[in-house]
Amino acid sequence: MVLKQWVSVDGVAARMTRSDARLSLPEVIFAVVSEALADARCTMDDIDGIVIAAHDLIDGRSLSSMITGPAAGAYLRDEIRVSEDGLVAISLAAARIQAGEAARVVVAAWGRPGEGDVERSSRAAFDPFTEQPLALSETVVSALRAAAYLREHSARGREAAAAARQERAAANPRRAPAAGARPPVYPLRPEEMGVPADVAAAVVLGTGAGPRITGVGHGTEPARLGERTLAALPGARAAVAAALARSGLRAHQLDLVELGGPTLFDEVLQLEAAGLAEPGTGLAGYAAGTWVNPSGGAAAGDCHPCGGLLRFVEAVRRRPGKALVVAGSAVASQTTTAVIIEEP
Amino acid sequence: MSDPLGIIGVGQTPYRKRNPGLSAGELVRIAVTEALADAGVGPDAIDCVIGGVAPDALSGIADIDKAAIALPGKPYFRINTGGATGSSALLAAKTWIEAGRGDVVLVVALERMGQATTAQSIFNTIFDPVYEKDFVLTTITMAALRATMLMRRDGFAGEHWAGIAARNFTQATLNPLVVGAKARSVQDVLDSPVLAWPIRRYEACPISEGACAVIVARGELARSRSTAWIRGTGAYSDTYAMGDRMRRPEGSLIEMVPLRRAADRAYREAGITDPLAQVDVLELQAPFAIIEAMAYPALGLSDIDGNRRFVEDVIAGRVPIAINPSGGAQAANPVSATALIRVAEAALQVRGRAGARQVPDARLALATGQGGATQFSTVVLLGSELP
Repeated sequence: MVLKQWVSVDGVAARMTRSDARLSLPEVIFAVVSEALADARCTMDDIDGIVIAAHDLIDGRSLSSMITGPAAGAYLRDEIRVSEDGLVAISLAAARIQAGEAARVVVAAWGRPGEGDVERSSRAAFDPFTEQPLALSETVVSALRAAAYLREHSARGREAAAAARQERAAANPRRAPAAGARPPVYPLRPEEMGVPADVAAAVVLGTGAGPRITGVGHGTEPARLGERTLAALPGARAAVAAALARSGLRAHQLDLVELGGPTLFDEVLQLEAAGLAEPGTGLAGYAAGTWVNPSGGAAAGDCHPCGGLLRFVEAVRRRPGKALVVAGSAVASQTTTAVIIEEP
Repeated sequence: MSDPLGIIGVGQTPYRKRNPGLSAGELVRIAVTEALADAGVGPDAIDCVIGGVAPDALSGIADIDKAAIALPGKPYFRINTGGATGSSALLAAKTWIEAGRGDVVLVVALERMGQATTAQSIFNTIFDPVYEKDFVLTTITMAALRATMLMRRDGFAGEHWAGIAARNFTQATLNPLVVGAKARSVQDVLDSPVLAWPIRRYEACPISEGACAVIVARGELARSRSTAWIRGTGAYSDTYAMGDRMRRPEGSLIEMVPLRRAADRAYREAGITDPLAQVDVLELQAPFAIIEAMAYPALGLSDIDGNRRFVEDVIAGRVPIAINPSGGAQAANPVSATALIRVAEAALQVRGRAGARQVPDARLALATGQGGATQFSTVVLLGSELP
């Protein structure tokens, strides 16, 4: 299906900190949205609508957008919020422009794991009778994925991939402080984990001269882990296939991919789902492909539900020719969104 | 709109305080199965599913929608704008289709607030944890503050709120989906205990659970069916702080500025110049009588300074518009779903399928959504005829 209206990325901004008590969450959001507007060389007067990705449990407050929405610019404007990853907000905001409902839209997402217990928060999303007693969390599911992957394939390239990931993160001047890295769960290793960070990211979408969103795709898997294939991500495969089809590109034409998974193995599974590595070769492909997560991915900083928007900002900042951004959303990547960005 | 779109299917569970015998997924299944049957399509026809669940804490589990609503193989995402969640999800479906992402979208909103120990203790957590939480701001006390402001400003009295509430509860007896509906008189409402003065128990919405599903489509699929055509929409958000809304040039707290702007936009799109004369049915997301009274001038039905007289005309049945024939949100208010229910009821009216609560010759119906501290507002105008 051909997009009715192309959508440009006019401005981006992101901040990563760790437990910075000097600013309240609304103050951080306001500052980052202001930076994105400045990057887009516009003011809030030029904005028609706001699309937010936020989660009450992460924000620590029910219906948190009551207080955070206005900080993102949702004052006497059209505003809508998804309780999903920030890349879903990009998709919906782009749709608003394609539909002719808005000319310029602010997308914002955030999270402050520094103020809470990430593992405990993620546990609340699992079934209270059949899953929570097993102490499932996002990290535990990532570990189960890693175990399934290693059992089905091999560990070939594992050390090289982890080293490459750490090197790319270390080279990222915007990386989060590494002091708060998540403790690993077997068989994951410390260098394969993500670094939880307090993140706020904002993007201004429009119809200007900036990089263009030429394809968007979504994929959905069953909710229950027992019904899923843990050594692959069919939802991500469907999302990427749809995004590529809409952009008219093939996977080998991509110059850069930013993958929004919480650990190395989640990122590798996304790489394989995108068709950029054969099943079982993703670790080696990750190590060799300098175009794979040049930002360092989650090793440079990560935060649900902001991970996808953070990866999107990193991709745009690197001015790629043709880029793919992929991010999973709750619960444990049950849904995945893929976005293609191209330089005009 | 180059290719008009509309609602081709509606499905609703009964709305009751608790559903201990049904899981969230089973509630959704009831509503979705009914909506698909009403539309005459199967699940394969659906291009995208959009879920609506508001505060996670009400159901006691985060992301309850993922197992209950999301359909594997179909694009899925969840909207959360508080009490406006259902109508915001509908607007997202409209966006999706008009962007060319698909032709048919299933919108499902689910509420399981009967699982919460007390709903108001959850609603207390929507307010500022440092400045407001300790003096027990809740949705009830928040509405009470607006009621007292109107009483002082315009001379409203308890009888006005009771008159609105009595009409809504009595009309709900014609709606089989409102489980346990009872006709109530003005005196019944005035005799009920005070929850937070001036709001009385029979003026406040009950705790309600349930699911609502609608199917939005365009093209031949819509033209070949009984369709409630989307004629106009609007959505606006306001600041959270009530103090900041007391004296400002855009309008005060009681003027519902975002609702007014949303209505103005929807009317413009639909070519409505005299809503009182042109709109046949209102379905208002007003869980308290005071919220309904504030909505009248915001929707252009009355002048803000003449609103008390208008409310008296409404109570006396002297206005040419049917208000909340379903009983409205005062009779059943499953928070996540309530704004989608208003849209669904409006769709049933213009499709002539509202059963005992059908308004004769209903051709144009307006549904509102209201979330946060009267902060998120939506308006959806549905018509029986192609735009």
